[in-house]
Amino acid sequence: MGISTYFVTPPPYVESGKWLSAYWVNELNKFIDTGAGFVYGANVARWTYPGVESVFTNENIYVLRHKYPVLRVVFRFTNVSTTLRIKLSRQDLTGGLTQVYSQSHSSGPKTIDITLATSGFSVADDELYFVRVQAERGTSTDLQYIERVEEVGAGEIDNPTPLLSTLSASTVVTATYLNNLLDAAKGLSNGLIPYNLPFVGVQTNQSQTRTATYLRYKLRHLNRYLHVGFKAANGGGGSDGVILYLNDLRVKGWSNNNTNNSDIFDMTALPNSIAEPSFGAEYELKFVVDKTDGVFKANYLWELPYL
Amino acid sequence: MSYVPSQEVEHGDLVVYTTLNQIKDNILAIYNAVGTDAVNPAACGNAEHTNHSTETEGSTLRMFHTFRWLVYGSSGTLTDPTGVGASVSLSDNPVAGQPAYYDLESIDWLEYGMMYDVSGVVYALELDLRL
Repeated sequence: MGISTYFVTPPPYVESGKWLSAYWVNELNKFIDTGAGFVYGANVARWTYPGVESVFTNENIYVLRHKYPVLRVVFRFTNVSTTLRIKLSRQDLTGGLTQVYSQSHSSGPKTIDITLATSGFSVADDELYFVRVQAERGTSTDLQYIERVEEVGAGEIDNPTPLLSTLSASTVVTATYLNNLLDAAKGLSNGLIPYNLPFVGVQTNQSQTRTATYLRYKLRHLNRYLHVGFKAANGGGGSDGVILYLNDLRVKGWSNNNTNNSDIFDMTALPNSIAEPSFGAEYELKFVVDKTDGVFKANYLWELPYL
Repeated sequence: MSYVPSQEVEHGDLVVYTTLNQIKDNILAIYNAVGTDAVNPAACGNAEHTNHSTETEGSTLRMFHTFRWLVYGSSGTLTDPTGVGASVSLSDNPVAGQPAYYDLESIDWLEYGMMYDVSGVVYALELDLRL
């Protein structure tokens, strides 16, 4: 059974003089394990939405469940005179959008933070809503990217460190100590909301170069194993018909064998002496495809704690 | 400091100090992974409906099954990438602009932790509750 619901209640506070039960400890562990299952579970790579021309609002859609006060959209571009617009709606239609941001920029990247409460768009807690972005570009031929769309709750997660101390074999465990453990766990859970995003499995009938590929994905390094799955095209490129790069460093090449390929990489022992990204650091994965026939499809890219 | 899944304490056993220290270390490990700011990422739509649609036809959304409800827009098909489970047709919500929901527990071959593909739809994500 997986996490079909996230409603796991913490145990009650303990009282001085009462027995410490196995049940209380197990309930606290369950509460923490649920959060850990979310944090260390499937770490799905996010697609970096590309545009070789202007991107308009009828060409992209993002959906999320409202949790936090700030909507953040990160754009990456280098060309001049790019006008960025962000539009929101409670329906997934292209009409009836509320524009919450519009501004011209002469250079990128740009991180746009929108305070939803004062944006002119009304959305209730837990309500689904939709985000569409527009990036009207200048004359440059550089690709532009929508790096990510997310809500941010600044300071929603309490630093547990002040509440925690290390026990020794001779320490007398007090109710205060146990309740501090519980409060530390509760302080984390405020910011661990459940979500499960899809992997955007891009299929393309075009070759993709190292500099201009739109098969780009990003993820934060949290787990030991990187799982890679794709369907190769049918011919061309020799033994390097498909190449996977990590932060523009070659990880591995495959031939275009017209079949589904899967591989698992140990992030602590990556090929070609590629250094493991720092824990929590964001890194980019990209596919480069050299094909003459058929289609390439990215099936999945995600980190898991197991092989 | 890495996270170590906890061992259940049996009724009648002593709760030893190392167990409580491990709980403390696990709390810190989670905090080190997530930091102070909570993040709620948006699900990006299906690439076959983008500005590259002539080149990206046939793109899908692949899910690592975690929660009960699939939320999606437009109509499509849910498939087992291994080809074993029967495909499931996903109907659009009859109310224009509103997302549709599918109870994934009604699919007999789909277990939590399995992968599945969603094709045809404009967007999809899993939620723990039907909103």
